[in-house]
Amino acid sequence: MSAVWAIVRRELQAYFVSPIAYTFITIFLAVVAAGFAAGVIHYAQTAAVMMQELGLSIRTQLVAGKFGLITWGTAAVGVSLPGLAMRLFSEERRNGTAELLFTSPITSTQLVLGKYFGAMTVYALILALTLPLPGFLFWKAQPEAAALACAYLGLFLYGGVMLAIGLFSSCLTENQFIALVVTYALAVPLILIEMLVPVARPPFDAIFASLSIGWALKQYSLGLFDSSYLALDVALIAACLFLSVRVIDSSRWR
Amino acid sequence: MISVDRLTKVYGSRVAVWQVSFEVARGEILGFLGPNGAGKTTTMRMITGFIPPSSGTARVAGHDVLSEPLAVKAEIGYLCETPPLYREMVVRSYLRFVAEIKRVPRAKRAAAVDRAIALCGLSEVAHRVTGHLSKGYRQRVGLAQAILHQPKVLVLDEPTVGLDPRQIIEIRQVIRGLAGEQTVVLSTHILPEVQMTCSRVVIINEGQVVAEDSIENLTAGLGRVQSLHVRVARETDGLAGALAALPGVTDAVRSGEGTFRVRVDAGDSARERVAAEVVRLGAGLIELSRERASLEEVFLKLVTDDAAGAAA
Repeated sequence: MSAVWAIVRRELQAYFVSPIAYTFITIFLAVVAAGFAAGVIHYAQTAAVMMQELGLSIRTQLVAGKFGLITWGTAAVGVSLPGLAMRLFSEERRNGTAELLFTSPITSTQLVLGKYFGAMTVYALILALTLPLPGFLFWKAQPEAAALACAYLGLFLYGGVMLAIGLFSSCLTENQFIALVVTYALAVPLILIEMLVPVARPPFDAIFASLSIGWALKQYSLGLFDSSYLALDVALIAACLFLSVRVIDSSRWR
Repeated sequence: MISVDRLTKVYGSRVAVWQVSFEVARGEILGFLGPNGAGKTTTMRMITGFIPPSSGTARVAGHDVLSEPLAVKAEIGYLCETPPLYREMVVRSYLRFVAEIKRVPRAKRAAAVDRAIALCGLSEVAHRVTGHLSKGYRQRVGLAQAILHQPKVLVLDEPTVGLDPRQIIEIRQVIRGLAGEQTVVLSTHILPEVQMTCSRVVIINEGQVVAEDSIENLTAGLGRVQSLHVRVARETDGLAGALAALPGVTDAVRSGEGTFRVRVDAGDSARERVAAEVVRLGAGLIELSRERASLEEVFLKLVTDDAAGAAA
Protein backbone atom coordinates (compact mmCIF):
# COMPACT_ATOMS: atom_id res chain seq x y z
CA MET A 1 0.00 0.00 0.00
CA SER A 2 2.91 2.34 0.69
CA ALA A 3 3.94 1.95 -2.98
CA VAL A 4 0.49 3.17 -4.05
CA TRP A 5 0.80 6.10 -1.69
CA ALA A 6 4.27 6.94 -3.06
CA ILE A 7 2.86 7.03 -6.60
CA VAL A 8 -0.09 9.18 -5.49
CA ARG A 9 2.23 11.72 -3.92
CA ARG A 10 4.46 11.83 -6.97
CA GLU A 11 1.46 12.36 -9.22
CA LEU A 12 0.25 15.25 -7.09
CA GLN A 13 3.72 16.75 -7.18
CA ALA A 14 3.85 16.38 -10.96
CA TYR A 15 0.46 18.04 -11.36
CA PHE A 16 1.18 20.99 -9.12
CA VAL A 17 4.81 21.65 -10.03
CA SER A 18 3.93 22.01 -13.70
CA PRO A 19 1.16 24.28 -15.00
CA ILE A 20 -1.09 21.31 -15.92
CA ALA A 21 -3.20 21.21 -12.77
CA TYR A 22 -3.59 24.98 -12.57
CA THR A 23 -4.64 25.18 -16.22
CA PHE A 24 -7.32 22.56 -15.92
CA ILE A 25 -8.52 23.81 -12.54
CA THR A 26 -8.94 27.25 -14.10
CA ILE A 27 -10.83 25.89 -17.10
CA PHE A 28 -13.07 23.79 -14.87
CA LEU A 29 -13.90 26.59 -12.45
CA ALA A 30 -14.44 29.11 -15.25
CA VAL A 31 -16.95 26.87 -17.01
CA VAL A 32 -18.85 26.02 -13.82
CA ALA A 33 -18.84 29.56 -12.48
CA ALA A 34 -19.95 31.07 -15.80
CA GLY A 35 -22.78 28.54 -16.06
CA PHE A 36 -23.83 29.15 -12.47
CA ALA A 37 -23.84 32.93 -12.91
CA ALA A 38 -25.93 32.63 -16.07
CA GLY A 39 -28.36 30.35 -14.21
CA VAL A 40 -28.75 32.70 -11.28
CA ILE A 41 -29.30 35.75 -13.49
CA HIS A 42 -31.79 33.88 -15.65
CA TYR A 43 -33.65 32.76 -12.56
CA ALA A 44 -33.71 36.22 -11.07
CA GLN A 45 -35.00 37.82 -14.26
CA THR A 46 -37.61 35.39 -15.49
CA ALA A 47 -37.88 32.01 -13.92
CA ALA A 48 -39.01 33.11 -10.49
CA VAL A 49 -41.87 35.14 -11.97
CA MET A 50 -42.90 32.44 -14.39
CA MET A 51 -42.80 29.73 -11.84
CA GLN A 52 -44.99 31.67 -9.46
CA GLU A 53 -47.51 32.16 -12.28
CA LEU A 54 -47.44 28.48 -13.09
CA GLY A 55 -47.64 27.58 -9.43
CA LEU A 56 -44.34 25.65 -9.42
CA SER A 57 -42.29 25.38 -6.32
CA ILE A 58 -39.10 27.39 -6.19
CA ARG A 59 -37.58 24.55 -4.26
CA THR A 60 -37.99 22.19 -7.20
CA GLN A 61 -36.03 24.53 -9.42
CA LEU A 62 -33.34 24.86 -6.79
CA VAL A 63 -32.86 21.14 -6.50
CA ALA A 64 -33.29 20.12 -10.12
CA GLY A 65 -31.21 22.71 -11.86
CA LYS A 66 -28.82 23.92 -9.16
CA PHE A 67 -28.68 26.86 -11.52
CA GLY A 68 -26.67 24.96 -14.04
CA LEU A 69 -24.18 23.69 -11.50
CA ILE A 70 -24.49 20.08 -12.64
CA THR A 71 -25.14 20.76 -16.34
CA TRP A 72 -22.10 22.96 -16.57
CA GLY A 73 -20.18 20.69 -14.26
CA THR A 74 -20.72 17.93 -16.84
CA ALA A 75 -19.33 20.17 -19.55
CA ALA A 76 -16.38 21.15 -17.37
CA VAL A 77 -15.60 17.48 -16.74
CA GLY A 78 -15.72 16.91 -20.49
CA VAL A 79 -13.29 19.68 -21.36
CA SER A 80 -10.82 19.37 -18.51
CA LEU A 81 -10.55 15.82 -17.13
CA PRO A 82 -9.45 14.02 -20.32
CA GLY A 83 -6.67 16.60 -20.50
CA LEU A 84 -5.77 15.93 -16.90
CA ALA A 85 -5.60 12.18 -17.50
CA MET A 86 -3.85 12.02 -20.86
CA ARG A 87 -0.35 12.36 -19.40
CA LEU A 88 -0.69 9.65 -16.74
CA PHE A 89 1.07 6.81 -18.56
CA SER A 90 1.93 8.41 -21.90
CA GLU A 91 4.39 10.74 -20.21
CA GLU A 92 6.13 7.89 -18.39
CA ARG A 93 6.69 6.10 -21.67
CA ARG A 94 7.85 9.21 -23.48
CA ASN A 95 10.29 10.18 -20.69
CA GLY A 96 11.69 6.70 -20.23
CA THR A 97 10.60 6.71 -16.58
CA ALA A 98 8.36 3.73 -17.39
CA GLU A 99 11.59 1.75 -17.30
CA LEU A 100 12.15 2.81 -13.69
CA LEU A 101 8.60 1.97 -12.63
CA PHE A 102 8.42 -1.37 -14.44
CA THR A 103 11.76 -2.54 -13.07
CA SER A 104 10.86 -1.60 -9.50
CA PRO A 105 9.33 -4.09 -7.10
CA ILE A 106 5.79 -2.79 -7.55
CA THR A 107 2.91 -4.45 -9.36
CA SER A 108 1.01 -3.01 -12.31
CA THR A 109 -2.08 -2.88 -10.10
CA GLN A 110 -0.31 -0.72 -7.50
CA LEU A 111 0.90 1.52 -10.28
CA VAL A 112 -2.53 1.93 -11.87
CA LEU A 113 -4.20 2.56 -8.51
CA GLY A 114 -1.58 5.11 -7.53
CA LYS A 115 -2.00 6.97 -10.81
CA TYR A 116 -5.80 6.87 -10.57
CA PHE A 117 -5.98 8.00 -6.95
CA GLY A 118 -3.54 10.79 -7.74
CA ALA A 119 -5.74 12.12 -10.54
CA MET A 120 -8.88 11.63 -8.42
CA THR A 121 -7.31 13.66 -5.63
CA VAL A 122 -6.79 16.55 -8.02
CA TYR A 123 -10.40 16.20 -9.20
CA ALA A 124 -11.71 16.12 -5.62
CA LEU A 125 -9.77 19.30 -4.98
CA ILE A 126 -11.33 20.93 -8.05
CA LEU A 127 -14.82 19.98 -6.82
CA ALA A 128 -14.00 21.37 -3.40
CA LEU A 129 -13.08 24.65 -5.05
CA THR A 130 -16.59 24.88 -6.58
CA LEU A 131 -18.21 24.69 -3.15
CA PRO A 132 -18.53 28.49 -2.75
CA LEU A 133 -21.18 28.34 -5.51
CA PRO A 134 -23.66 26.15 -3.60
CA GLY A 135 -22.54 28.13 -0.56
CA PHE A 136 -24.06 31.13 -2.28
CA LEU A 137 -27.35 29.23 -2.63
CA PHE A 138 -27.35 28.48 1.08
CA TRP A 139 -26.76 32.14 1.78
CA LYS A 140 -29.63 33.38 -0.42
CA ALA A 141 -32.08 30.45 -0.33
CA GLN A 142 -32.74 27.17 1.40
CA PRO A 143 -31.69 24.33 -0.92
CA GLU A 144 -31.87 20.75 0.29
CA ALA A 145 -28.43 19.84 1.56
CA ALA A 146 -28.89 16.09 1.01
CA ALA A 147 -29.98 16.60 -2.61
CA LEU A 148 -27.01 18.84 -3.24
CA ALA A 149 -24.64 16.32 -1.69
CA CYS A 150 -26.19 13.63 -3.88
CA ALA A 151 -25.65 15.79 -6.97
CA TYR A 152 -22.02 16.33 -6.00
CA LEU A 153 -21.53 12.60 -5.46
CA GLY A 154 -22.94 12.06 -8.95
CA LEU A 155 -20.58 14.61 -10.44
CA PHE A 156 -17.64 13.10 -8.57
CA LEU A 157 -18.40 9.62 -9.93
CA TYR A 158 -19.05 11.00 -13.42
CA GLY A 159 -15.61 12.59 -13.40
CA GLY A 160 -14.22 9.39 -11.90
CA VAL A 161 -15.43 7.45 -14.94
CA MET A 162 -13.93 10.07 -17.24
CA LEU A 163 -10.55 9.87 -15.47
CA ALA A 164 -10.60 6.08 -15.57
CA ILE A 165 -11.26 6.14 -19.32
CA GLY A 166 -8.49 8.71 -19.71
CA LEU A 167 -6.09 6.57 -17.68
CA PHE A 168 -6.88 3.55 -19.84
CA SER A 169 -6.35 5.55 -23.06
CA SER A 170 -3.08 6.84 -21.69
CA CYS A 171 -1.84 3.27 -21.26
CA LEU A 172 -2.31 2.63 -24.96
CA THR A 173 0.10 5.17 -26.39
CA GLU A 174 3.10 7.32 -25.58
CA ASN A 175 1.49 10.19 -27.51
CA GLN A 176 -0.58 12.34 -25.17
CA PHE A 177 -2.68 13.78 -27.98
CA ILE A 178 -3.68 10.33 -29.21
CA ALA A 179 -4.53 9.42 -25.61
CA LEU A 180 -6.80 12.47 -25.47
CA VAL A 181 -8.56 11.60 -28.72
CA VAL A 182 -9.06 7.99 -27.64
CA THR A 183 -10.53 9.19 -24.35
CA TYR A 184 -13.16 11.20 -26.20
CA ALA A 185 -13.82 8.36 -28.63
CA LEU A 186 -14.56 6.05 -25.68
CA ALA A 187 -16.44 8.55 -23.50
CA VAL A 188 -18.69 10.21 -26.08
CA PRO A 189 -20.85 7.11 -26.77
CA LEU A 190 -21.34 6.63 -23.02
CA ILE A 191 -22.63 10.19 -22.82
CA LEU A 192 -24.61 10.30 -26.07
CA ILE A 193 -26.49 7.10 -25.39
CA GLU A 194 -28.58 9.22 -23.04
CA MET A 195 -30.21 10.91 -26.08
CA LEU A 196 -31.76 7.60 -27.06
CA VAL A 197 -33.52 7.18 -23.71
CA PRO A 198 -36.56 9.41 -24.44
CA VAL A 199 -37.08 8.11 -27.98
CA ALA A 200 -36.50 4.38 -27.50
CA ARG A 201 -39.34 1.93 -26.88
CA PRO A 202 -39.40 -0.20 -23.75
CA PRO A 203 -37.45 -2.13 -22.75
CA PHE A 204 -34.70 -0.41 -24.69
CA ASP A 205 -35.21 2.94 -22.99
CA ALA A 206 -34.44 1.31 -19.65
CA ILE A 207 -31.42 -0.48 -21.09
CA PHE A 208 -30.06 2.72 -22.58
CA ALA A 209 -30.74 4.60 -19.35
CA SER A 210 -28.87 1.99 -17.35
CA LEU A 211 -25.84 2.33 -19.65
CA SER A 212 -25.64 6.10 -19.77
CA ILE A 213 -23.42 7.87 -17.29
CA GLY A 214 -25.09 11.15 -18.30
CA TRP A 215 -28.49 9.77 -17.43
CA ALA A 216 -27.17 8.51 -14.13
CA LEU A 217 -25.78 11.95 -13.35
CA LYS A 218 -29.17 13.52 -14.12
CA GLN A 219 -30.82 11.28 -11.57
CA TYR A 220 -28.16 12.13 -8.97
CA SER A 221 -28.68 15.82 -9.69
CA LEU A 222 -32.38 15.46 -8.96
CA GLY A 223 -31.39 14.17 -5.56
CA LEU A 224 -32.28 10.60 -6.54
CA PHE A 225 -29.81 8.07 -5.25
CA ASP A 226 -30.17 4.64 -6.79
CA SER A 227 -27.69 1.84 -6.32
CA SER A 228 -27.95 0.91 -10.03
CA TYR A 229 -26.47 4.27 -10.99
CA LEU A 230 -23.75 3.80 -8.45
CA ALA A 231 -23.17 0.31 -9.81
CA LEU A 232 -22.83 1.65 -13.36
CA ASP A 233 -20.19 4.21 -12.43
CA VAL A 234 -18.25 1.90 -10.17
CA ALA A 235 -18.37 -0.93 -12.72
CA LEU A 236 -17.08 1.35 -15.48
CA ILE A 237 -14.26 2.63 -13.29
CA ALA A 238 -13.30 -0.88 -12.21
CA ALA A 239 -13.40 -2.11 -15.82
CA CYS A 240 -11.15 0.71 -17.04
CA LEU A 241 -8.63 0.17 -14.25
CA PHE A 242 -8.63 -3.57 -14.79
CA LEU A 243 -8.09 -3.13 -18.53
CA SER A 244 -5.30 -0.64 -17.83
CA VAL A 245 -3.48 -3.23 -15.73
CA ARG A 246 -3.92 -5.79 -18.50
CA VAL A 247 -2.67 -3.39 -21.17
CA ILE A 248 0.41 -2.52 -19.12
CA ASP A 249 1.17 -6.17 -18.51
CA SER A 250 0.61 -7.16 -22.12
CA SER A 251 2.50 -4.24 -23.65
CA ARG A 252 5.55 -5.61 -21.90
CA TRP A 253 4.98 -8.90 -23.68
CA ARG A 254 5.27 -7.43 -27.15
CA MET B 1 24.52 -14.34 -8.86
CA ILE B 2 23.12 -13.96 -12.36
CA SER B 3 22.47 -16.94 -14.54
CA VAL B 4 21.16 -16.36 -18.04
CA ASP B 5 19.91 -19.46 -19.81
CA ARG B 6 19.19 -19.49 -23.55
CA LEU B 7 17.47 -16.14 -23.38
CA THR B 8 15.70 -15.30 -26.64
CA LYS B 9 13.65 -12.33 -27.75
CA VAL B 10 11.83 -12.30 -31.05
CA TYR B 11 9.85 -9.32 -32.30
CA GLY B 12 7.56 -10.58 -35.04
CA SER B 13 9.96 -12.07 -37.57
CA ARG B 14 12.96 -10.13 -36.27
CA VAL B 15 15.29 -11.86 -33.86
CA ALA B 16 16.68 -9.39 -31.33
CA VAL B 17 18.40 -11.84 -29.01
CA TRP B 18 18.99 -15.50 -29.78
CA GLN B 19 19.78 -18.13 -27.13
CA VAL B 20 22.06 -15.98 -25.03
CA SER B 21 23.55 -17.77 -22.03
CA PHE B 22 26.12 -16.62 -19.52
CA GLU B 23 26.83 -16.58 -15.81
CA VAL B 24 28.02 -13.82 -13.55
CA ALA B 25 29.60 -14.67 -10.22
CA ARG B 26 29.05 -12.71 -7.05
CA GLY B 27 31.14 -9.53 -6.85
CA GLU B 28 32.20 -9.69 -10.48
CA ILE B 29 32.03 -6.84 -12.98
CA LEU B 30 30.93 -8.24 -16.30
CA GLY B 31 31.36 -6.21 -19.47
CA PHE B 32 28.64 -6.74 -21.97
CA LEU B 33 30.14 -5.68 -25.22
CA GLY B 34 28.71 -5.35 -28.69
CA PRO B 35 28.10 -2.92 -31.52
CA ASN B 36 24.99 -0.77 -31.47
CA GLY B 37 21.90 -2.84 -32.14
CA ALA B 38 23.53 -6.11 -31.11
CA GLY B 39 20.87 -6.86 -28.50
CA LYS B 40 22.62 -5.55 -25.38
CA THR B 41 19.71 -3.41 -24.20
CA THR B 42 17.15 -6.08 -25.01
CA THR B 43 19.09 -8.65 -22.99
CA MET B 44 19.42 -6.28 -20.04
CA ARG B 45 15.73 -5.44 -20.19
CA MET B 46 14.93 -9.13 -19.96
CA ILE B 47 17.23 -9.60 -16.97
CA THR B 48 15.65 -6.64 -15.17
CA GLY B 49 12.12 -7.78 -15.96
CA PHE B 50 11.21 -4.77 -18.07
CA ILE B 51 10.30 -7.06 -20.95
CA PRO B 52 9.80 -10.81 -20.76
CA PRO B 53 11.83 -13.21 -22.89
CA SER B 54 10.22 -15.03 -25.82
CA SER B 55 11.91 -18.16 -24.51
CA GLY B 56 14.66 -19.10 -22.12
CA THR B 57 15.00 -17.60 -18.68
CA ALA B 58 17.27 -15.75 -16.32
CA ARG B 59 17.81 -16.09 -12.59
CA VAL B 60 18.98 -13.25 -10.40
CA ALA B 61 20.11 -13.96 -6.84
CA GLY B 62 18.31 -17.29 -7.05
CA HIS B 63 14.99 -15.86 -8.27
CA ASP B 64 13.53 -16.58 -11.67
CA VAL B 65 12.58 -13.47 -13.69
CA LEU B 66 9.44 -15.14 -14.98
CA SER B 67 8.01 -16.76 -11.88
CA GLU B 68 9.22 -14.28 -9.22
CA PRO B 69 9.52 -10.94 -11.02
CA LEU B 70 9.03 -8.82 -7.90
CA ALA B 71 11.76 -10.67 -5.96
CA VAL B 72 14.14 -10.17 -8.89
CA LYS B 73 13.27 -6.48 -9.18
CA ALA B 74 13.91 -5.98 -5.47
CA GLU B 75 17.48 -7.28 -5.93
CA ILE B 76 18.33 -5.24 -9.03
CA GLY B 77 19.41 -1.68 -9.55
CA TYR B 78 18.99 -0.68 -13.17
CA LEU B 79 20.28 2.30 -15.05
CA CYS B 80 18.73 2.33 -18.49
CA GLU B 81 20.19 4.05 -21.55
CA THR B 82 18.59 7.40 -20.76
CA PRO B 83 18.45 8.02 -17.01
CA PRO B 84 14.80 7.64 -15.96
CA LEU B 85 14.37 11.06 -14.39
CA TYR B 86 11.27 13.06 -13.65
CA ARG B 87 12.37 16.38 -15.06
CA GLU B 88 10.27 18.48 -12.72
CA MET B 89 11.59 16.87 -9.53
CA VAL B 90 14.40 18.01 -7.29
CA VAL B 91 17.27 15.47 -7.07
CA ARG B 92 16.74 14.70 -3.40
CA SER B 93 12.99 14.24 -3.57
CA TYR B 94 13.40 12.17 -6.74
CA LEU B 95 15.75 9.82 -4.88
CA ARG B 96 13.35 9.71 -1.94
CA PHE B 97 10.59 8.64 -4.31
CA VAL B 98 12.82 5.92 -5.77
CA ALA B 99 13.63 4.74 -2.21
CA GLU B 100 9.90 4.38 -1.56
CA ILE B 101 9.11 2.36 -4.67
CA LYS B 102 12.24 0.22 -4.19
CA ARG B 103 10.90 -0.75 -0.77
CA VAL B 104 13.65 0.80 1.33
CA PRO B 105 12.29 0.69 4.89
CA ARG B 106 11.03 4.08 6.06
CA ALA B 107 13.64 4.38 8.81
CA LYS B 108 16.52 3.81 6.39
CA ARG B 109 15.34 6.02 3.52
CA ALA B 110 17.09 9.23 4.50
CA ALA B 111 20.39 7.40 5.07
CA ALA B 112 20.09 5.56 1.76
CA VAL B 113 19.45 8.81 -0.11
CA ASP B 114 22.40 10.50 1.61
CA ARG B 115 24.70 7.58 0.82
CA ALA B 116 23.75 7.58 -2.88
CA ILE B 117 24.20 11.35 -3.08
CA ALA B 118 27.64 11.10 -1.49
CA LEU B 119 28.79 8.13 -3.60
CA CYS B 120 27.77 9.74 -6.87
CA GLY B 121 29.07 13.19 -5.97
CA LEU B 122 25.69 14.88 -6.09
CA SER B 123 25.76 16.93 -2.92
CA GLU B 124 26.20 20.18 -4.86
CA VAL B 125 23.10 19.61 -6.98
CA ALA B 126 20.90 17.79 -4.44
CA HIS B 127 18.48 20.71 -4.32
CA ARG B 128 18.28 21.34 -8.05
CA VAL B 129 15.61 20.24 -10.49
CA THR B 130 16.81 17.21 -12.49
CA GLY B 131 15.61 18.68 -15.79
CA HIS B 132 18.06 21.58 -15.40
CA LEU B 133 21.13 19.44 -14.75
CA SER B 134 23.91 18.84 -17.25
CA LYS B 135 24.07 15.48 -18.97
CA GLY B 136 26.90 14.34 -16.73
CA TYR B 137 24.94 15.09 -13.57
CA ARG B 138 21.79 13.52 -14.98
CA GLN B 139 23.75 10.36 -15.63
CA ARG B 140 25.04 10.44 -12.05
CA VAL B 141 21.53 10.87 -10.70
CA GLY B 142 20.62 7.84 -12.81
CA LEU B 143 23.45 5.90 -11.20
CA ALA B 144 22.43 7.10 -7.73
CA GLN B 145 18.92 5.86 -8.44
CA ALA B 146 20.30 2.43 -9.37
CA ILE B 147 22.54 1.96 -6.31
CA LEU B 148 20.14 3.58 -3.85
CA HIS B 149 18.61 0.47 -2.30
CA GLN B 150 21.98 -1.34 -2.25
CA PRO B 151 20.85 -4.04 -4.62
CA LYS B 152 22.83 -7.25 -4.94
CA VAL B 153 22.96 -6.78 -8.69
CA LEU B 154 23.56 -3.65 -10.73
CA VAL B 155 22.64 -3.56 -14.38
CA LEU B 156 24.06 -0.54 -16.16
CA ASP B 157 23.21 0.13 -19.77
CA GLU B 158 25.96 2.28 -21.33
CA PRO B 159 26.57 4.27 -18.14
CA THR B 160 29.21 6.56 -19.63
CA VAL B 161 27.64 7.36 -22.98
CA GLY B 162 27.68 11.05 -23.82
CA LEU B 163 29.94 12.09 -20.95
CA ASP B 164 33.18 14.02 -21.18
CA PRO B 165 36.45 12.19 -20.36
CA ARG B 166 36.66 13.52 -16.80
CA GLN B 167 33.09 12.49 -16.02
CA ILE B 168 33.72 9.08 -17.56
CA ILE B 169 36.63 8.54 -15.19
CA GLU B 170 34.51 9.58 -12.22
CA ILE B 171 31.66 7.25 -13.16
CA ARG B 172 34.10 4.37 -13.67
CA GLN B 173 35.59 5.01 -10.25
CA VAL B 174 32.17 4.79 -8.67
CA ILE B 175 31.44 1.55 -10.51
CA ARG B 176 34.79 0.01 -9.58
CA GLY B 177 34.21 1.06 -5.99
CA LEU B 178 31.07 -1.04 -5.94
CA ALA B 179 32.76 -4.23 -7.10
CA GLY B 180 33.12 -7.01 -4.59
CA GLU B 181 30.14 -5.82 -2.64
CA GLN B 182 27.85 -5.78 -5.64
CA THR B 183 27.65 -7.77 -8.84
CA VAL B 184 27.69 -5.54 -11.88
CA VAL B 185 26.70 -6.07 -15.48
CA LEU B 186 27.78 -3.17 -17.61
CA SER B 187 27.00 -2.79 -21.29
CA THR B 188 29.03 -0.67 -23.63
CA HIS B 189 30.31 -0.39 -27.13
CA ILE B 190 33.39 1.47 -25.91
CA LEU B 191 36.25 -0.99 -25.68
CA PRO B 192 38.68 0.75 -23.32
CA GLU B 193 35.84 0.97 -20.84
CA VAL B 194 35.63 -2.80 -20.61
CA GLN B 195 39.39 -3.11 -20.27
CA MET B 196 39.44 -0.55 -17.48
CA THR B 197 36.44 -1.58 -15.43
CA CYS B 198 35.52 -5.18 -16.08
CA SER B 199 37.02 -8.45 -14.97
CA ARG B 200 35.25 -10.52 -17.57
CA VAL B 201 33.58 -9.84 -20.86
CA VAL B 202 30.72 -11.24 -22.91
CA ILE B 203 30.77 -10.16 -26.54
CA ILE B 204 27.46 -10.16 -28.32
CA ASN B 205 26.74 -9.53 -31.97
CA GLU B 206 23.48 -9.72 -33.89
CA GLY B 207 21.74 -11.13 -30.85
CA GLN B 208 24.19 -13.96 -30.17
CA VAL B 209 27.09 -14.44 -27.80
CA VAL B 210 30.28 -14.67 -29.87
CA ALA B 211 32.77 -14.81 -27.00
CA GLU B 212 32.74 -15.13 -23.24
CA ASP B 213 36.00 -15.05 -21.34
CA SER B 214 38.34 -13.02 -19.17
CA ILE B 215 39.97 -10.07 -20.93
CA GLU B 216 43.45 -11.69 -20.59
CA ASN B 217 42.35 -14.86 -22.33
CA LEU B 218 40.54 -13.00 -25.05
CA THR B 219 43.41 -10.73 -25.95
CA ALA B 220 46.17 -13.34 -25.68
CA GLY B 221 46.52 -15.47 -28.79
CA LEU B 222 42.92 -15.56 -29.71
CA GLY B 223 42.02 -17.35 -32.87
CA ARG B 224 44.22 -18.56 -35.71
CA VAL B 225 45.77 -15.30 -36.81
CA GLN B 226 48.49 -13.38 -34.99
CA SER B 227 49.90 -10.00 -35.70
CA LEU B 228 53.66 -9.51 -35.95
CA HIS B 229 55.58 -6.31 -35.64
CA VAL B 230 58.63 -6.34 -37.94
CA ARG B 231 61.32 -3.65 -38.02
CA VAL B 232 64.06 -3.61 -40.64
CA ALA B 233 67.22 -1.55 -41.19
CA ARG B 234 66.72 -1.04 -44.94
CA GLU B 235 63.47 -1.13 -46.82
CA THR B 236 64.17 -3.12 -49.93
CA ASP B 237 61.82 -2.97 -52.92
CA GLY B 238 58.87 -5.28 -52.70
CA LEU B 239 59.57 -6.38 -49.15
CA ALA B 240 55.93 -6.18 -48.09
CA GLY B 241 54.84 -8.07 -51.20
CA ALA B 242 57.44 -10.76 -50.67
CA LEU B 243 56.38 -11.24 -47.07
CA ALA B 244 52.72 -11.39 -48.00
CA ALA B 245 53.46 -14.07 -50.61
CA LEU B 246 54.95 -16.42 -48.00
CA PRO B 247 52.89 -19.46 -47.07
CA GLY B 248 51.04 -18.93 -43.78
CA VAL B 249 51.06 -15.13 -44.09
CA THR B 250 47.70 -13.43 -44.46
CA ASP B 251 48.97 -9.98 -45.34
CA ALA B 252 51.84 -7.55 -44.73
CA VAL B 253 51.36 -3.83 -44.47
CA ARG B 254 53.96 -1.09 -44.12
CA SER B 255 53.03 0.67 -40.91
CA GLY B 256 55.78 3.29 -40.69
CA GLU B 257 59.42 4.11 -41.42
CA GLY B 258 61.04 0.71 -41.67
CA THR B 259 58.24 -1.08 -39.81
CA PHE B 260 55.73 -3.58 -41.07
CA ARG B 261 52.73 -5.25 -39.64
CA VAL B 262 52.46 -8.85 -40.75
CA ARG B 263 49.50 -11.05 -39.99
CA VAL B 264 50.40 -14.72 -39.88
CA ASP B 265 48.85 -18.01 -38.93
CA ALA B 266 49.34 -19.02 -35.35
CA GLY B 267 52.34 -21.20 -34.62
CA ASP B 268 56.08 -20.74 -34.93
CA SER B 269 56.65 -21.87 -38.52
CA ALA B 270 55.16 -18.80 -40.20
CA ARG B 271 57.16 -16.52 -37.95
CA GLU B 272 60.33 -18.38 -38.78
CA ARG B 273 59.60 -18.00 -42.52
CA VAL B 274 59.04 -14.26 -42.09
CA ALA B 275 62.39 -13.87 -40.30
CA ALA B 276 64.21 -15.93 -42.93
CA GLU B 277 62.68 -13.97 -45.79
CA VAL B 278 63.68 -10.62 -44.31
CA VAL B 279 67.22 -11.84 -43.87
CA ARG B 280 67.34 -13.40 -47.40
CA LEU B 281 66.31 -10.08 -48.97
CA GLY B 282 69.09 -8.33 -47.04
CA ALA B 283 66.73 -5.91 -45.35
CA GLY B 284 68.46 -6.25 -42.00
CA LEU B 285 66.09 -7.62 -39.41
CA ILE B 286 66.22 -5.49 -36.29
CA GLU B 287 63.08 -6.50 -34.48
CA LEU B 288 60.36 -9.11 -34.77
CA SER B 289 57.79 -9.26 -32.05
CA ARG B 290 54.35 -10.63 -31.57
CA GLU B 291 51.76 -7.95 -31.06
CA ARG B 292 49.38 -8.64 -28.26
CA ALA B 293 45.95 -8.24 -29.79
CA SER B 294 44.03 -5.38 -28.26
CA LEU B 295 40.52 -6.04 -27.21
CA GLU B 296 39.52 -3.88 -30.12
CA GLU B 297 41.05 -6.31 -32.59
CA VAL B 298 39.44 -9.24 -30.86
CA PHE B 299 36.15 -7.49 -30.96
CA LEU B 300 36.35 -6.48 -34.60
CA LYS B 301 37.52 -9.91 -35.58
CA LEU B 302 34.73 -11.66 -33.74
CA VAL B 303 32.11 -9.29 -34.99
CA THR B 304 33.21 -9.30 -38.63
CA ASP B 305 33.78 -13.06 -38.73
CA ASP B 306 30.33 -13.55 -37.37
CA ALA B 307 28.81 -11.22 -39.97
CA ALA B 308 30.65 -13.04 -42.73
CA GLY B 309 29.43 -16.36 -41.38
CA ALA B 310 25.86 -15.12 -41.27
CA ALA B 311 26.08 -13.84 -44.85
CA ALA B 312 27.45 -17.12 -46.15
